[in-house]
Parts: sequence; C-alpha cells; structure tokens
Amino acid sequence: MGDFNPSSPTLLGQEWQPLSELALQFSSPASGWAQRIRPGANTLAAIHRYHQEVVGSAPGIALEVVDTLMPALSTSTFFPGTDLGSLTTTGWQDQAAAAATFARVDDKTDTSDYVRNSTAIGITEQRNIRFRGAAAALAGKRIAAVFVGAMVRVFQFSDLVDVGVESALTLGGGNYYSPLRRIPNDGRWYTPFLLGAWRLNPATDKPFTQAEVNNFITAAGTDSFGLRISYPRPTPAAATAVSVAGLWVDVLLAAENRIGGFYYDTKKMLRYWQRFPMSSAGLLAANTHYWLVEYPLVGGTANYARGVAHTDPSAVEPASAAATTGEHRELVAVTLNNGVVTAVAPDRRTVQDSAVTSGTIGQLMGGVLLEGGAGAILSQSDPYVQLDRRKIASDSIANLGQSITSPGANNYGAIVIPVAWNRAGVRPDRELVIEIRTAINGGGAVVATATIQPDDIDGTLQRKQVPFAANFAAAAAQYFVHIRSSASTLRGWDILRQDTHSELIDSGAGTTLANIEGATQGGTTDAYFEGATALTRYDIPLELVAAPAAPAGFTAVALPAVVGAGSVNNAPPRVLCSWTATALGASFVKYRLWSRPSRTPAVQPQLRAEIVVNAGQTPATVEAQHTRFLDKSPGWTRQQGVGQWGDGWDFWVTVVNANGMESGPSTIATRVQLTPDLDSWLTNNAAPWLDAPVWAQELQGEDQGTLNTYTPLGRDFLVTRTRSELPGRLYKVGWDSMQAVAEDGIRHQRAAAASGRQLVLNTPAGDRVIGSISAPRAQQTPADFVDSEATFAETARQPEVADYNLPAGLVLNGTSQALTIAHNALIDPLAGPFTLIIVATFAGAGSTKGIITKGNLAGAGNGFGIRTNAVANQLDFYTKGATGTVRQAVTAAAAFDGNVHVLAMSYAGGAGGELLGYLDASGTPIASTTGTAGSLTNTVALAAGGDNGGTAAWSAMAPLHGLAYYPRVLTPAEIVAAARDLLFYPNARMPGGSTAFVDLRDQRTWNGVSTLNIVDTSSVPPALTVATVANPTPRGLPWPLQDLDKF
Amino acid sequence: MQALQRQGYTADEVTAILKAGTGTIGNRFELLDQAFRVVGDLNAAPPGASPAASSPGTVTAASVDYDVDRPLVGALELRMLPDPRLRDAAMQYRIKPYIQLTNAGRTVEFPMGVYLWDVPERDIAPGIEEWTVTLADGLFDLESDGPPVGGFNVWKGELQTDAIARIVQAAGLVDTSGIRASGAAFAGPRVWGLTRPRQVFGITYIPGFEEGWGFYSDGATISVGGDNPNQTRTNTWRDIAASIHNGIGYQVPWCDFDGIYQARPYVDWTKATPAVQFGTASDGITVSPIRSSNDVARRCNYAAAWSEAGDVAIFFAEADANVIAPGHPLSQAKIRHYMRRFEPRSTADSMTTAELLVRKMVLEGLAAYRRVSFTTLFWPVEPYDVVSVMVAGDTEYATPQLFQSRGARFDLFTGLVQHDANQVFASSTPAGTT
Repeated sequence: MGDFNPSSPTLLGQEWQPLSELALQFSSPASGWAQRIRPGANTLAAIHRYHQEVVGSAPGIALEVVDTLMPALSTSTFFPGTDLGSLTTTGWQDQAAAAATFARVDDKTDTSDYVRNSTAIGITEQRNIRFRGAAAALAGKRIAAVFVGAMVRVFQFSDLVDVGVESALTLGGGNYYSPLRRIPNDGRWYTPFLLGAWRLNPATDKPFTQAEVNNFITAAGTDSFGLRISYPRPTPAAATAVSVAGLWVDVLLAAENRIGGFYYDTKKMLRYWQRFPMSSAGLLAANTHYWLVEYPLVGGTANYARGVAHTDPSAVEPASAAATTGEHRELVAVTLNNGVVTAVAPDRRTVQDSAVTSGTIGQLMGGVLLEGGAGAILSQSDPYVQLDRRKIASDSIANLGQSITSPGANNYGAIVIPVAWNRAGVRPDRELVIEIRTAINGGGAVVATATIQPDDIDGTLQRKQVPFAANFAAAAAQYFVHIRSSASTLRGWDILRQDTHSELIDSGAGTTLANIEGATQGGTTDAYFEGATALTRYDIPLELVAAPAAPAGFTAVALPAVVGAGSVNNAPPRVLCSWTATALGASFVKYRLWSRPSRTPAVQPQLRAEIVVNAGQTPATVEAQHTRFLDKSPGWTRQQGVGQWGDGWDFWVTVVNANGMESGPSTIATRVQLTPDLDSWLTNNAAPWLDAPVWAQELQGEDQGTLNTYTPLGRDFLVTRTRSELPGRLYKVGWDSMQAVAEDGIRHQRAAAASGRQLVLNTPAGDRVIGSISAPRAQQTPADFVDSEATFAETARQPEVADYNLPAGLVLNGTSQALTIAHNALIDPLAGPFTLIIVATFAGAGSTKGIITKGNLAGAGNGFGIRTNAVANQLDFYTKGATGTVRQAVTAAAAFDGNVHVLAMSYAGGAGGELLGYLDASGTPIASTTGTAGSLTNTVALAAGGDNGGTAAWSAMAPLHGLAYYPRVLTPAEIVAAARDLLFYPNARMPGGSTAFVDLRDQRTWNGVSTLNIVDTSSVPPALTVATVANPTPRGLPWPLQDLDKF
Repeated sequence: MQALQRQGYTADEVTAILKAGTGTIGNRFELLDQAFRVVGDLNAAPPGASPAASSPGTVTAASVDYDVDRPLVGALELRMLPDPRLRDAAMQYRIKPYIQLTNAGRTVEFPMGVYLWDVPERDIAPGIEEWTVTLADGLFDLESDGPPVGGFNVWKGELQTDAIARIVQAAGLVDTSGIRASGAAFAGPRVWGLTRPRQVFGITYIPGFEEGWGFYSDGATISVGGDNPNQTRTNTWRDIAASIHNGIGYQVPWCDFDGIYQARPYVDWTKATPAVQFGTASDGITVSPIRSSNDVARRCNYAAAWSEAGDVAIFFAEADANVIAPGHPLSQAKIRHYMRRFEPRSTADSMTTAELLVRKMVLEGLAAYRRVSFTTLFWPVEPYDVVSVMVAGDTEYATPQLFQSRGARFDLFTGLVQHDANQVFASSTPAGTT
C-alpha cells in the first residue's frame, strides 16, 4: 500500500512508519476502539481483521463504519395501541369486569383503570397478555436497546406471598421473556417497573433493526409485547388478585450513523485473519471522514480478543477531510452504551484521548483491510500486524533490504528509514550503509548511497532521514534498497520490519493471500528481501524523499569595478549571479549560492549565501524575487594561470525545500574571472553598505609566537612544537587623497570598523584576506582631502555567509502598482523652484508612462514630473502650469539598460526659469531648457510608477529603490552627491533640505515586508503620508543605514 | 591510557610522533548536540547558518584537566571569541576538543573529552567581546540531578553495575559501554533519595541517620535518610553512583575522553605494569624538573567494612598493609601504628565486594605516601593510569618508580601536560619501561 498519499509525489514509500506497537483489548461490549478512516467514494463490501489472540469462548465481534462517532441517544416510549383478540383477553378483565383492552394499560401512571386476572392463577400456571402498539413507524434510526416496563399490583387476603412477573416479546412467532421479578402481596402499585432489557434481539442475537422494532410498535406489525404472570407462591393467586395498570416499551435509539455498513456476530472472532462482509453498506463520499468502530458483541473478562495498533510519532493527523497530505487514521478508545459510542475514553492512555485532533501523534489499528467492490483492497488498509527488528551487522544475512518501484522519473535526495542501535547503550562500531541498487543479488549498478554514522542517532529506534551522497534520478523502474553494515556482531544496528502474517490465513476465513500481500508496499512486486530472496510477507517501512529540481537559467557575470566621476569608485569587482525562480511555492525554504576557486585539483565548495525566508516574508515572494546575488568576495585574477585565483571561480545555486532536501547544483558557471581594480577594496557580501575602496600602503607581518621550544630532561637538543593554526596576517591599510565630499570622508570605513563585521580585502596584487579593521585614524590635508589608516587583521579563511544583498525595493508591475505620497504643501512648489529625484530600474516602453509625477500629466490641470514618451527610450522632463508648459524630451537609452539608475529634474520656477534633467551622477544635464510655467500647484498625490496619483499610465520598475523632493534647485554638485548616495558610492550623502525622502534601501523607511508602513524620512516626525497602490511586491532586505549615519 | 594506535598508524608509529624532535600541535573543537551528535565546529562558521556569524567562534586558549580527587573529575577551560550558536544555549550543546600532532607528514589526533556547554564569563567592551568558561564533562549530567520523589530503588539480586547503568541512563547519558560488569549483586532492596511522604506510607524516620541513603527490607521500611522532611535533596545521581562504585571497589566515576561514563575496577598496582615511563631518557618528553611532595590527608594502612542492617548477611572484611603490601613505608610494621579507616554502611553487600573495597581503601591510602608533579609534552594519560618515573642519578628515582595518575592538565595549544601522580610501591620491579 506503500504510498498512502499518492497526491504527494515527493515521497515514495510508506508514509506510515510505525516505531512501536501496542495491544488492543476487546473484552467488554462497553469498550472498543474506533479508527478514523477516509475510504473515498467507495462501498465497503467487507472488512478483514486480524486478531492475534482470542481467549475463552468467542467474544463476538461488532464492526461498524459510521459517519458520526457519537450520535445523540434518546429514549422513545411506546404504549399498547392494538388489542390482539384472545392474546389480550383470555384470562383477563378490566377493573369493571369487562373485557380487557389496551386502553386500560396505555400509560405509566394512571391507576384508575387497569386489567386484572379474571380467574385464579395456579401455582404452576403461566398467564400471558399481549398487545401491539399503534405508533408511527420509526425511520432513520438505529436501535440501541429495547426495554419493557409495567405497573403491577398484587393483593388478596390469603397466604399468597408474591407473584412472579416477566415481560415478554413475541418475535416471529417465538416468545422471549425477561428474568422473573416478584411482586409482593401488599396491595401497592409497583411503578414504574422495569422488567425486560434487550441489547440484542433475542431472536437473532444481533442488535435490533429498526424494522424489527416497528413490527411490535406499529398496528401493522406482526409481533407483540406484553407480560407473563407465573408462579404465585405458596398458594394460587385468586381471581382479580393481579392487576396491571400500565405497560410500555422504551426504545433507546439514535440517528442511523452506520453509513458504511456493519457486521455483527456473537460467535465469530477467530484468531488471525478473517473476512467480515458488511451489511447495509452504502456508497461513501470522497474527502469525508468516517469511523471504523469495533467492539466485542458479548465479550467479558474470560472471553476476549487482542488486536494490535502501531504508533508513528511523525504521522500528522489533519483535521480537514479534504487535506490530501498527512494521515487520516487516528485511533481512539471508545466507551459504548448498548453498542452506541458515547465517549472517547480518556483513561486509556495509549491512544489519543479525544476525537479528531490535527497534528497529533498517529496511532493506527493494525490488521485492517477495507475491501471495496470487486474484492479491491482500498488504500486506507493496513495489512501489517507485527513489528520485527532485524539486526544489521557483519554477521547478518547478505543482500537484505527492500525493493521499491519508482512510478516515474523522479529525483530523490534522501531515504527515511527506522533504525536503532542493536543493543541499548552500545554504540555500533561501524556505520550503516544503505545502497540503492538495480539488482536484488547485490550486483547491478549502485545508483545512490546513504550512510548513517553511529552518533547520528541516540541509539533508540527512530525514523532517520539520511541524505544520499548525491541525488539520484530514478526512472520508472524497480530498485533494491540494500542495507548492510560491517559492525561487529555485538555492536550492530537494528532496522524495523513489518510483518503481515500472511501465513496465518485460516482456511474458510474468507481472507486470501492476495487480499493481504496485494495491499502491501508495491503489492507483491515490492517486498522485503534477504539472501537475495524476496519475502513478500514483509516490508520495511521506508520512503524515498524527492529533492527539488535545481534552479534553471543560472548565470554568473563578472563585473569590473565602477569608477565614477571624480575618480570615486562606487562598486568593487564583483560577480552578479542570477537565476530563474523555482516554483516550490509554500515549500520553498532557501536558495544556497555556492562557489569555489576554479582549480586543479578541485577544492571543497564554499557556501556564499543562503537566501532565506526571514520573519514576515512569505516563501513564494522570496522565491520569486530574491533571485540575484552580488558576490564581492572572490579574489581577483591578477594574471591568467598565476596566483591563487588566476583561473577564476565557479558558481552555482541550489534550492532547499520543506522536506529539508537540497537540489543538485544548477548549471555551474565555471572560471568566472574578476578583473583587478587599481585600488584595493574592503567588501562584505552580508553588509554591502560597509564596502570601502582602499589603497593598501604597507603590508606588515608579525610573529604571533607560534613556535614553542622545550628542553626535555636527558635529551641533547631542543624539541620544537609549532602550532598548526596559521598566524593571521596584519595589514596597515590607508585611504589616501580621498575627495572631500562630506564632513567625514571615511565614514564607511569607520562604520565598517565599528560594526565589527568580517570584511574581505582584495588587493590589486591578487591577494585576498579575510578579517576586520580597527577604527581608522584620519588626517585632514590642507587641500581638503582626507587621508586615513587602519589596521586590518586576518581572522578567517572564509567570508561570512550572506543573505540577499542587493538594495531593497518595491517591484512595480507597470499595470496597476505605484508608490504615492499624499498631497501636502511640503511637496507643492506653487510657482517656485523644486527638484525631483528617483532611483529605480526603468522600463523604456515606447509609450507614455509616468515615472515620477505630481498631477495628471496626460490630462487636465497643473502638474510636473518625469515620464516616458511614445518614442522608445525617451525621457520627458515635464512641467505644466497655470501660465504654460515647460518641458524637454531626450532619448537616453542608457537609462533603460536594466540596471539601477537615478533620474533627477530641477526647475527654477518664476519667469523664464531653467529646467534641467539629469541621469545618474555625471553632474552634466541631459536635458536643459527654460520657460515660464506659472503655478504648478495641484492636489494630486506624488506618484512613483504612474501618472495622476498612481491611477494611470503605470510604469514598471523592478524595483523602485527611492525618491526625493526638494523645494529648491539642487546644484549639479548636489545632484552628483545625491546620485552617488543613491547608487551607493562610498562617502556620499544626500543633500540636506529635502521635504520628501523615501529610501526603500533603509530599515528606517520600512521593514521590507509590509507595504503599509512606509515612512518618509525627510523630517522627524514624518510629515507625509506614504502609501502604495495595488500592493507592489517587496524585494530584498532593507539595510541598517543608520550605521553609516553615525559617522 | 588512550590507545596509541589510531588514524591507521601503529602504536610505535604514534609513539614516534609524540616523541619526535619537531612537530606541529593543533586542535579542533567539535560542537555536539545534547545527544552527542556532531553539529558543527567551533572554529568554523556553521554551514547552515544564515546569515552567518559575523565572527565565528574562535578558540584562543583551551586546556583540559582531570583530577580524581574532586567530584567532577574532568573539565575544559576555554577562552574564545563569541559564537552566536552558543549564546543563551547553556547545557544545550557539548564540546568535544581534539588535540592533533603532526610529524613527518603523519597526523594523529586524540579526543580530549566531551564537555557540557555552560554560561560563559563575558569580557565586554565596545566592539570586543571575549568569553572564558570552564566546562564539566558528562558527570555534570549526573551531578546536576538526582532521583525524583520515590527515590532510586535497587532490588535484591540486581547486579550493582546494572544499577550504575540505570543511573547513567536516568541522567540522560546513553552510552553505557564504559561500565565494566563486576558480577556483584545487591543483597537486598535499597533506596536512595526521597522515597515517599512518610505521612502517607508510614515510613519511619530515624533522626541522625542522614547519610542520604538507607535501605528497607521487602516493604518493611527501616530507615531512609532522605526521608527527613527537613532535607531538600541529599543525593545526586553522581553521589549514588559513586557510592555504588565504592561499594564494589571501583574507581570513582569518570568520563573517558570520548565522553563515555566509566565504571572500572580499581587498579591494583601491586600487580600493575606501567603504561609509560617519564623522566630522563634520550627520547624522553619530560620538560620540567620533577617536584616531589606528599598527600598526607589521604594516608591509611588499615581498612575495614561490615554489614549493618537489613537482611544483608553479616560479614566483616578488613585489609592491612602489612599483608597486601608488606614492607611499604606506610605499613604498620614500618611506622609502628595503624592509620585506620572504616566503612560501616557501604553498598558492599557481600564479603567478596567488601574485600575489594577495603583493599582499595588501603591501596589508595598507601599511594598517598608521596606525590610528584611534573610537566611533559603531550601524552594521552587517563585517570588512574600507572606510570613510572625515572631520573638518572637521582637518589630515589634512579630506578623507575611506579606512580598512579591522580590528575593531569593538558594545554591544547602547546601540548604540554602537567601531571600529578601518587607514588605507589609495587611488590615487584616494574616492567615495560620505555
């Protein structure tokens, strides 16, 4: 039966992997067991059960498949309503000596009318009276029990002591009586007087059916109920001495819940396998929970049976019947009232103490086969009835394991197997080896290998997920899982084996070998084997776990250092890795980016980045958006084939899913070589805002006392011991002649030192050192330049592992999404000057789209902003005021190359004011014109990514990093400073005086998760209201840029 | 002593590495989880961490020591940079250090114990944080807890070493393969710790009987020290285990360098051969002068033990240095008086184990006659190892003398070992000198 959840293709094998078993006792009709089942749209023809032991006379068996575990019980009372001729009148009269009728006894309390014996009843005589009801027939009910009660009086002046009374049912011509009760001769009414109680129909020895009850409570029935008076003692009862004022039937009933059928038998319950055909079985519904209830029909302490249940602590019990994963077979102990479950038994600690709870430890009734139509065994069956442990050691039988058939091509990365140390507390002395082979005899190809070391488990039996040394791509074929160990005989391993006991099929019991073994893992095709021989009776509860497919479209492109205007670097040599997002959705856990130097001989891969789902992020968003990574840590290729990093680096990415499985590598980008920069660089993949270009002025080594010398007594010469740890190198690194762009030109370096983070120092000579720096000492030169120097200490071989490291932003889709700042006087230039800045990746659509606008540029009214035009790659710097329109359109393909760029626009306002447009940090306008626009005021929100407050002409940005508004014209130098800051040049700052500033790279602006709380950081407290339109997707992790602002 | 053969090299080859004139000393520190599974390395960034530690934990100094005369025998002292995995993770991890030695291209390594992580002492300054911590080995698991209410019960006929195994399991350690079976069994039921509230079960409390253990006989309770309602807890698992060890003449409980709990019979040095010889030799490794002193507090030349209560058969066992080590400088025949010790209520439940117990007591007392301290290059000694020391030309040690290792301190960065050993006087000339 293997795959319990065929809709979960990532697992092949048995999801039900029990670790222990317990005995189920069937010893009282008042207690039984119920197992939740989800048999699908089937009719249950029969249920096969295995009982490992039956003690005493047969305890009987009741099997029911119910839709409601605990239906409400109620009691209905029926009185006589039909006279039955002589059965009613012979020997009886009413209180007025007229003929007896039902009307005299059709109540429980009225003693004013009654029937009495019309003649004496001798001491050996038995006198009957019978009635039938006249009630409406019961419908839709199941009968729990039938009780007959009466109100009786005995009185005469004589030696009569008492009279025996029995209640009676006449069923199908046979009379069935209750135990005799004695009524004393005292003239009192004994009321209400319970006489008979039948849980089982005495005519059938099975629970009453609704039809059987209707037969005596309705006028149209053929059966009857009544009393039998007998054995007065010690003298006959005289005429009229015995009176009956009331007679009734109480029926304990519930709504019919046995939707899936039932089986009752007071005699059957054989040992071992037995088939029980189901009566009144109906078609069950798909995606619906039912309960299989079993209890002994007549069992007791001397005649009982035992079954078996299995426990799998890892089985998940979903509450919803529609859930397609997890187990739907929760076992509970139940108590019954006359065959109807009234409570789950909280005192039976071995199973769950409440019904249908999700996420609980799974308990499964062993030895249950659900048989549908045409003898088909349904997938919710469990043919296993015993757990064995098999020792695996050097002296174990060879070629032992389990065959398993892969239904189709799949990529498996691990195996889950129940394993333990063979002897408690004795650690095996060799590993356990699991090989997937293509032949049962130990030959064939080895397609995968997994190894469990002794310390991988704590010794107790447990499910262990063991990764294969390398994922293997299974075809639609049969494989053989070989399990072996060369551990010594007293220090071996155990694995678990499930036994169906298919050899214990009794002749005539109805169950066949095919019923049992055909239900096991892979039917008889897949089975446990040892000595290269398949033993189809057994299976090992193992499963293969699929690994996700590797991400596609992986590229790694080396980018040279970027030198900006004024010889200020803004990006070190780096490798841009990007890949196509995988489609794991909610089961996405992380991407892992790997690299290694391209060398012969090869070296171990090193983890560069783990792109994980952080708090507040959703797996799907991270999976879809975080598909790029900039690695600034690789050493530079100083000279081809020479030096540590001459051949460059190999890169690849993998993906990990919620099963803990990692894909194989993506396409490996090999020999990616980084062009050396003329300057040294301190970089950090995890904290890229700390990157700083440096010039190493001198390299200084220092003896760290790694050589120890000793003089052993009696030896002629010294003995030396060298420490194997390599001494860390020390550098003095200097920042020389840096342009003074701010009040502190080395704030990146100081922030890096203060952060205490690990940095990678790459030098033009091809050296690559990993360590950290002390706080730099600065020198101010007369020429407004800053020199500084710090000590760099090597601390490690590998740089730290980073998460997503590109600036955070919002991805605008170009069809509905935008970021807006509600209208405010702070962003209203009226007829005065202003500057607008935006940083993003722009799309040159060849159509009119709003990049950053305030007002409705495409419609009526005042407005201003930057937009694209119908001409491809054209930017339109645009003002439209009360007096006129001042604008200039320029074609700038560079702005639309897919990289992040800064666009800025300033307008001086007033009469003949100058309008300038800028791209990036050049300081030279790409657009320039003059004109009088007049007042530009409008009340529309400032929008990035759209026109008219973000309601039209949307422009895609993937992503938008930020925007700023200044109520003045920034000088070209200020534009340069702003662009450098936004493009992450070291030592740059935004100019002061903005009245709107949204920097999505910065933690202070937002948390990178919620688009609800985006903060304008132009003032404290924020004065503007920032919002988004149509929920843009977040990308990236905002950085703690306040670290830089400390300096 | 740890076996020398390892990493595919024979004992002779490893000896050559340990005694070579040049070599490299290294170390590594495995990070284990509570179940002794390796989950990382203290000196390497955790492979699964994300984002990784800005500064992976780096051990800057480490030493391991053992001392059989203190309750927690093994300890590891670490000085290290912070490791984010170990913040607020006291007792959630264990650390298994190794020392590595390399000579002529051959590297061998020796495990140096498994120690439970604890709250470090932090030296904090802006931008700098350094941790110093002393960690105990697996005995801490036994010392930090004891039996729950109900006590720890043993029954008549249970092997004493089986009871030790139950204690070790109860304390959470899994591997009991270091427990050497003794064959001795309890003569009657016995309970340690707080049994049950006496007002419920009517257990009689006898004031003054407060050693922390007691015993009762088949349900008819006589006395349980731990029943004193004024005592919070009198027994830890280690106390109980040590008491059983003592009763069957075993060494005190200690954990070996793989972290496995050890229950071993006391080394009868009158029959021992030394595992290694230290001192002056052309290939020796002893690097300091040898200082000789004494261990006066532990001296003893006579011991006796007897049964006292319950249904344990009456017996009386004694040991006399005059008999088991005739001619020993501390024997009554030499010093003309006895230094007696008595063990009236031990768990020695038979004459056989009582004789082992008293013999151990006398041997321990005699070995306290003289103690030497000296430093060597790395050698993997273990508690109770019998070693010999020989100093050419010395008045007393010109011929190899036997010593029993009581303590050692291993510096994992320099490889130096400081030894403390008590001198024993074997009845025959020691063999196996190197």
